[in-house]
Amino acid sequence: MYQLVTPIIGTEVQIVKKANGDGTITFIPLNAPQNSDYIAFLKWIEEGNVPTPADE
Amino acid sequence: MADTTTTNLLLTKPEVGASTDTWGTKINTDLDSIDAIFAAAGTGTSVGLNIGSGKNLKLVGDVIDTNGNELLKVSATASAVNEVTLANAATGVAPTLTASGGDTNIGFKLVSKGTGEITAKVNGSDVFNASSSFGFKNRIINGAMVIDQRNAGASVTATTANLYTLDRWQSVASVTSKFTVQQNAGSVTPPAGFTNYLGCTSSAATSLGATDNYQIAQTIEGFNSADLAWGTANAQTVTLSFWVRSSLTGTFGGAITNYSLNRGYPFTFAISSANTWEQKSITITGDTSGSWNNGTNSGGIVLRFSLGTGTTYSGTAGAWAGSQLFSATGATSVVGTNGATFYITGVQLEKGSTATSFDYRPYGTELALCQRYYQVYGSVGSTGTNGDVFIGTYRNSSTLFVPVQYEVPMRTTPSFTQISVSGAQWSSQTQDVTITGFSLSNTPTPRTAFVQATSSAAFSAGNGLVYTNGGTTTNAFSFSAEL
Repeated sequence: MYQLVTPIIGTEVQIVKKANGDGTITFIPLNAPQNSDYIAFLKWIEEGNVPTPADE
Repeated sequence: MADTTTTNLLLTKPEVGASTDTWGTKINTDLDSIDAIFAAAGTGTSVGLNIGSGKNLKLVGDVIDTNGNELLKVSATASAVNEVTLANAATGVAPTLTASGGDTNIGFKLVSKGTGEITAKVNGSDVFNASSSFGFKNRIINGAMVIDQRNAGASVTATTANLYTLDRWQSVASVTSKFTVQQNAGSVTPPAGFTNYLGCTSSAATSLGATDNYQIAQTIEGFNSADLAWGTANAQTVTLSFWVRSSLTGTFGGAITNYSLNRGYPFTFAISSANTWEQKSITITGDTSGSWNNGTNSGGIVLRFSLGTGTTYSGTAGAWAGSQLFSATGATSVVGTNGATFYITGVQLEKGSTATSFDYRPYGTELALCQRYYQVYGSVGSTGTNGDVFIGTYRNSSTLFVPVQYEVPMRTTPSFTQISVSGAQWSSQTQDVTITGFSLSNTPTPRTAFVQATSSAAFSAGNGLVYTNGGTTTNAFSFSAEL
């Protein structure tokens, strides 16, 4: 459901992306504690899920 | 010595030791003159009156003008302790009209009759008109349902993803596809003074489980509710007002909650006539308990209109509770009737115990307020906005950097969504390349981002323009910092 995104600048992964099922793709910042999409991602992680690794 | 007269009323003072046969007549005439001063119509001889310190003038009747017309009335309140004090002033200082009395804090009311306005003038011109002033009193954004950046008037099916619909208005659904939301659904005439409304339509006859809940909700940012001081002893009373229309009649429900969902105030409102706009007003005593994120960019007050709420999340109307409540017990379920409609507009939440006129804000201002939470670039829908143009700088043969400075700084670091790239293009000095993807791989800021544009064709080195076509198709990307 979620996949980490390889950064184009630097090496630390900063974004996770999610296909929304309607053809749109959302890119979510991983260091934004007030971002509701990030909060939803954290909840998904807490439920035991693991995001797909970033593409090489 | 002859008779003399008094200074003010010219009453006859009979000569002492004389007027043997006339003093009685003179005294009677004097008494009649004094009595005439107190004629009920106020037509007696003009006199001055000195009410000294510690003395009172008791006024029950009216003060009339020189023509005998009413000028001032007083109205007595039993056990009154507060009053008005008038004060004159020396040169260069304004006289004052002040609320005074026994209470520590005393408000001041100016009350017009009927639809009469309250106006203040400076130098002969109106500088204040109470029926159209008090800008930004409304804590609800897009309460007139004018802005619809995401869908441009298209219908949205509510899902368990709790999608945003019209700007700032979130659909909440415990089961997908039970209702739709659309700006001006059903194309009915909005109430006078409004051009748009948010329309919900039930998609099935849905029975409610105990934990089911369907809502339209708006979360007010803590910065915008901080002065209400909820969660403190100084919590302010607020009044919710709105226009509503439904194909159903009965008692409907909703709730005010905090963002943490452990404080809730269910409310009810009656819709008495089907398919008729009715204006409702609900006054809510501020909550002195709980956490309300005052003065932060997190969620403060959440306003919820229920379209159907199970028993677990229903509670007693008109009272605060320390639990997760979305509606009042027994409220009408809109989703319970297939095809039922629930339309709403003119939603206003303001400080105070009285609903005042709707806070009409300029379109550009309302749009900017919405863009703090969501903004879209490009074209949305067949009647969407025009395309947008950006600088596209060469990163490598497959990637461009597209710097974006948002139209409005956002509430927090936003998410980025590629909605569609159909028709997007890069044009440099040497080539035109169709863009096949927009993405984000490094963290944006609340003010800027650099989007990446990619293509299946190779970019040539150099700079150019990236543009999204306006027109007939959705072709856009967005940033979201919604609550």
